[in-house]
Amino acid sequence: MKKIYCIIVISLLFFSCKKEYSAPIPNVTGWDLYENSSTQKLANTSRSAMEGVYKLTKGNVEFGNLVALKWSYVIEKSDTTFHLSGFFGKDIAYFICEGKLSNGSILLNGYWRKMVSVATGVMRLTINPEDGATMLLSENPFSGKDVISFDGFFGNGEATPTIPIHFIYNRKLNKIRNFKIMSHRSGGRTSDLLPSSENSIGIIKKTAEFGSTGIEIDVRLTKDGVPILYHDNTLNTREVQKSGLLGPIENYTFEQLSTFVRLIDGEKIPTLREALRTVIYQTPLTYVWLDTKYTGSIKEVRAIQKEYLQLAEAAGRELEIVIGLPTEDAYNEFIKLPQYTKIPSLSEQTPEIVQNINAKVWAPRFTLGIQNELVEQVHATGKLVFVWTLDVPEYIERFINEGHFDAILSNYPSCVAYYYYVYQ
Amino acid sequence: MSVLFFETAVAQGTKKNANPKRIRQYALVLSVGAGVATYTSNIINQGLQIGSKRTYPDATIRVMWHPNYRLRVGIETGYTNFYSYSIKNGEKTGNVTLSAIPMLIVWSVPIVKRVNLFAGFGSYYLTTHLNYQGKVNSSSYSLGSNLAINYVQPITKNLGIAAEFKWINAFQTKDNQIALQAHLVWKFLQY
Repeated sequence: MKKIYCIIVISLLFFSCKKEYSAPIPNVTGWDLYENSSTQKLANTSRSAMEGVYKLTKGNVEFGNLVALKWSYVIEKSDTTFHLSGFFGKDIAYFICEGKLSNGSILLNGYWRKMVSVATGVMRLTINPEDGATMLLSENPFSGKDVISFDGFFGNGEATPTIPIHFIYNRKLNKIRNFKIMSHRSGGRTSDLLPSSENSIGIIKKTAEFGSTGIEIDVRLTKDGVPILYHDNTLNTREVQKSGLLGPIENYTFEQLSTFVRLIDGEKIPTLREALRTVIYQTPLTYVWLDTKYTGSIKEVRAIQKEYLQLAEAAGRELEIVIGLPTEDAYNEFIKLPQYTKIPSLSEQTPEIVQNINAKVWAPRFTLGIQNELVEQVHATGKLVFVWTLDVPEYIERFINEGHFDAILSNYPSCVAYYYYVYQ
Repeated sequence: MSVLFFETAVAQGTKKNANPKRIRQYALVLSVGAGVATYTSNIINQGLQIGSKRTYPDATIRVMWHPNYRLRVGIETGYTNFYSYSIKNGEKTGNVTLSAIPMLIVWSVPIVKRVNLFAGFGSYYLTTHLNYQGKVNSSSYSLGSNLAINYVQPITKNLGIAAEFKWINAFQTKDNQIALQAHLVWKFLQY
């Protein structure tokens, strides 16, 4: 009988306790040289010449043999902040740094993270004058094998970085096909412990740092018909902080949600308008897939799509916004729209439906396989093909190396970025 | 007070030893209780809160099947409010109350004479009652469990009263509550 008591109590404890994980961005301050008031901003030309595939000579045990370096930016009010991201081939690792110029050297200060765990830490890198900085800071910087090398240290957690890392330029980033790196849920899942919640303004601003060139946004309607960003059917502790508000999100008005509900990172649930405004005016993202998660009229979403495509054009931004149609219900609502064949759309159903509604994109799920023959048939009609949702590195590598897709949707855009940029 | 159905297995074990031809005897026992419950988890403060309430009356209804061995099984439901809070957003005021109806399968064992341990697992049917710029009642389910201990004082052969202390855990929604209740316990069927 004692065994029964034990089983009951242990079962209760097992089902009641859940370890809370976190992977906060480490504090990257404390590098005196970097914080010195004499440091200067980097020029755009220096930045672009730095991009490429580099070979690791130190730190490869932790991060793999190659790293793909790519710059991105985010605009806050009138300030533009540039980030150098490094995408590694091991453990879906990446680093994100900001750069400065100091006494002829280029300094990069930031953090690294492995998406397979909560491992993270500080990363400090330097390009010394003789290792390429002088050339990068010249009027006509160039890239070439072995002409640029990064030297530095990384650490674990908040610890001062002491583990050496070194990588040297190997080749240009692969850019064959106009391939799109699409991130799921506006940048990644809350459960992956990213610095911002999924489907938030914060993650939209950050996702280019993770390698994304486009995003998939989950759209739902509030009770009063406001399109908002939210993935699940219901308010739940996976996506939002505890507030006492539960049940279908469609039960609440936008004002009720914005007053009472906060995403896990503390942000309010954003509207579709806020999200698209952020994409256009604050990020370099070039593609938005509006995944209609609800059943009902698409009229308001279409009106917003049209308005923001016009705003993007007026701002001189290269941007496509497509309405995603995941189900037959969404398709039936879509064909109620006037002149639906002229509306940029994406269908997850069959290539025939893609043709019927003149969608721009066919988006099959990855479980259907690489299916190059069918993809080429769709390409022949002038349509793009995006595959979703690939998260396993081995599959991502295979779909990039063997597939003919125009985009991969993933929760790990840094992993897609690595395999795409290092492909040769 | 004659034969008490609340007797522990220690006593049952004695009977068993005294009479090798054990009499197969089963019973269904209804327990109805009410008391007071206090919410023990954190209530997230959005900065607009002007008041909150954590303690409410609550009620429990439980039916247990008592076989002629110690582990009993049954079902439990009831009603409780977890918490409520009110907010002031500029000139606008509002409040939220979260209520719960447990729907649990419960196991129990007598641990010493008249004292029983209960452990339940199942679901909580949660309802949000929101009153802010319109009224909303919205429901959802949360997986959950409970753990309770009671002391039963027999009154008649088939009737008793009990004091029960309970921990309620809707773990999917991270809601926890403790409750102290008085129960009326009635063995309404024996076969």
